[in-house]
Amino acid sequence: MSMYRQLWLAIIISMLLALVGSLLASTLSARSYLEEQLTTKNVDNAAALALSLSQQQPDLVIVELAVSALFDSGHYESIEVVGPQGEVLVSRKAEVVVSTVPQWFMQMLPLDSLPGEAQITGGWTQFGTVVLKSNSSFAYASLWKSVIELVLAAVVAGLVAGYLGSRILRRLRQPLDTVIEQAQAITDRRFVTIKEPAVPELRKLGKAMNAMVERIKLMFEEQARQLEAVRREANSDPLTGLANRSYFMGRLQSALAREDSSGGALLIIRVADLVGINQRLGREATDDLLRRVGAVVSNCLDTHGDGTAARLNGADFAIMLAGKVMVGNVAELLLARLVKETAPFVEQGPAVCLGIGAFPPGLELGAVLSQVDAALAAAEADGINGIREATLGANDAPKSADEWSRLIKSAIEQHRVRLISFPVADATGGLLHRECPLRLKLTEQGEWLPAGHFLPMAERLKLTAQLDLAAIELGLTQLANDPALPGLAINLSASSLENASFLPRLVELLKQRSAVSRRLWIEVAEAGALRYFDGFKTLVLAVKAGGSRIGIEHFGRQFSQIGRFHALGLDYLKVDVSFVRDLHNNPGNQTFLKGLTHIAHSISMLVIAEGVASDEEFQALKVVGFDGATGPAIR
Amino acid sequence: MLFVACLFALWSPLPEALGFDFDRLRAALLERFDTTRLPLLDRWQQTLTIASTLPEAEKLIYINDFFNNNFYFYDDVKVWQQNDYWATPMELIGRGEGDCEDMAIAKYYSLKEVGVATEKLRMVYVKAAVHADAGPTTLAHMVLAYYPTPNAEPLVLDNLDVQIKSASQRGDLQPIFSFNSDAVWSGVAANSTRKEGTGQLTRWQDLVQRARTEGLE
Repeated sequence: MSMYRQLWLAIIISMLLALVGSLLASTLSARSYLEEQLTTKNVDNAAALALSLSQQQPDLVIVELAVSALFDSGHYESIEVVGPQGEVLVSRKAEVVVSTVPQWFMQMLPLDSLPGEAQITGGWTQFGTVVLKSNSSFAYASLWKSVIELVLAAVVAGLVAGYLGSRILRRLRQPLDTVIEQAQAITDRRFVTIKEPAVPELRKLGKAMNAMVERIKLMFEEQARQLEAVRREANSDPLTGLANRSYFMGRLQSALAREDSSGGALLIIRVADLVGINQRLGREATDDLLRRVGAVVSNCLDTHGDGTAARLNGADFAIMLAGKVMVGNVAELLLARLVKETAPFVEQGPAVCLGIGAFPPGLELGAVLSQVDAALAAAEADGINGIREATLGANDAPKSADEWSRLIKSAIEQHRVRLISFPVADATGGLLHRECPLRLKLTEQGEWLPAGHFLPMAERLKLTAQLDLAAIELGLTQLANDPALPGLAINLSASSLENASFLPRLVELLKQRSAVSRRLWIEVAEAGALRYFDGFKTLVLAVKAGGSRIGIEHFGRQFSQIGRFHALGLDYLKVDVSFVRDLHNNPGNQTFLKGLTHIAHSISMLVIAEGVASDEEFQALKVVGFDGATGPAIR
Repeated sequence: MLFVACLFALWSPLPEALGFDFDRLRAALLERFDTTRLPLLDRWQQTLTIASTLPEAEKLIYINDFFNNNFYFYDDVKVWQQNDYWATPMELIGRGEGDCEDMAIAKYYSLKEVGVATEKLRMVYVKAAVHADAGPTTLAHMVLAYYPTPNAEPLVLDNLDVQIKSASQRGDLQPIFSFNSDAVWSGVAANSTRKEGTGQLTRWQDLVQRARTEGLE
């Protein structure tokens, strides 16, 4: 029985006991008072009658008259005069006692009054004894009335006490519920603090739990800070602070190969005659130059949004911008700033040259690199501060926003959507779940397009909520059709959370298919989750309440933000390919990932690697503690 | 004969019937009065002891004489500074004096103690004609009446006329009202167990309770 109910019961029982007890006590005392009053009346009336009769020489007629007169004028049950030898001389008894009081009540609470007795004498001779008993029906009526009033008063008092009791309980229950909620949250790995309850006992508990949560948070933050340092060291160029070559290649690979990639642009920047500058101005000045170039490159990335900037080697820098970018314009601006920045170091000839190219998703990494390299070589050959652009792949004929909107909507309506699937293996190679990205056919005859082709447009047109719900529905159906499937992962766009009807609809879907929704894994990309953080938090709670699992995909690029995810109670992380690429040759990333799996496991999160391309990588992942992996090497 | 009875009492053990606890009575007496009253109490004890062995007619005389000879008769106001106070036998012994009710009550207790049935005894309020110094007058008075049988003419135990006489010989007394203590006794008994602390006692009940606390059952 719940504590709340027990408290209620205790209140009710103690109230009943108190009420019944007081009812009994006051009824009994009223009864004894009435009995005493009756006895007193009996005694007094008997004495008065005997006294008045003793004053006149009493004979039977006088006595009988006097007894009748008294009897008829008052409320008596019986009046008898008994002679000295015990013989009855006069007797008057009431026939029926008419009363409104129920019979059972009179039987339950009998009023026993003592009869009054007094001597009648004629001079010195004894005439007899008056034995007188008053009618008790009036006393019964009065007792009955007082009991009814008492019961009514008890009921009213009971109602008031019940109301007050429930108020008190509610006041008690509120802080109790808060504490219980916190405990529940902690078991769900959501490390939340609560406002300390006002009730002293609960305040201690709340305080202790808050302190524990704070301590966990501090420990977590400390570990995260150390890991962030490791990550930076492993993946960045120490001189400029930009990413290093291997990290950049991982990112580029990911932009080319990822299912949801919408392509991007690559810019390679070469500082001309670095060796000459080094000889002429010395090492320190050269380093200064490189730092300045690094700053300009980094600044360019900040102004143009999502992407990665890196120093590839001695004189080469690179920028990868995600999505459709007017790469020519970006390059012009960048060149102008670079020329200005490098001017103090350059005596003659060109200072920087750029090779650039925009790429659609799906191209080979080697092909893209070699073509942009060739463009750079051509720019260098020009002998001036210049830009050459490589033409990579064929661009689709551009469509208008209206056209996109119509096409995507009709695809959803006509069910031209489907899930494709990639296995996600656990550490032993067994199937953990299948990751299922959505593909969509714009026209009946068209080809199945991966997310990268339609998602950026869908995001701009705010159509992702419909797409995501379609994907969830397909996923749940698939789970229902295949009971042996251990799990199925669907990725959602964080921008769907902007749509107010998305979350209720999602919750409803999960509830409708609650039998299979336990096997559903839902993931959101790191960048999106951080951008729509409040919405994401609500999503996490809703998904967990629905019984499904929730995680972050492409995790790690904004690792320093891990503190924000820590208290949410996430079930898993899918670590971005850029940390996985060539892991077996990268001790820095091994250290980083080892730390990452350690702290993730400390709050019971699974860690899964994305884009595993070789068995060596997979083996190295197992060593650093990964729970699962997906990618081309995982079959 | 009295002498023989005294002798008999001296060497024979006290009859079992004696219900009064004289140790308690002594203690109660000393609590409120001084030791000079003890001999009177002892004499009362002796009187009761002897009277209990006598036939009923002689019991009456013996007890009546004891009280009439050993106590002064006064009006209540003087003795207790309170109008018409009913004193218990112990209070009577303690003071050595009392009024008519106190005497009647003490005689009643004593007779009851030596085995006279209480249904034969009546307390009687009487109007008494007396010859005071100022001339003849009447007095509100109380006597104890003894009825050998219910219909018989009673014997009167009085302190105005110390001789026990039959009612017809007492022309100076006009009975007004009498009460039989039995009904009141049972009333007191019932009161003490069932209706405690109500403060509603008749005068007789009040007396009985006070006497009981002193050790007179």
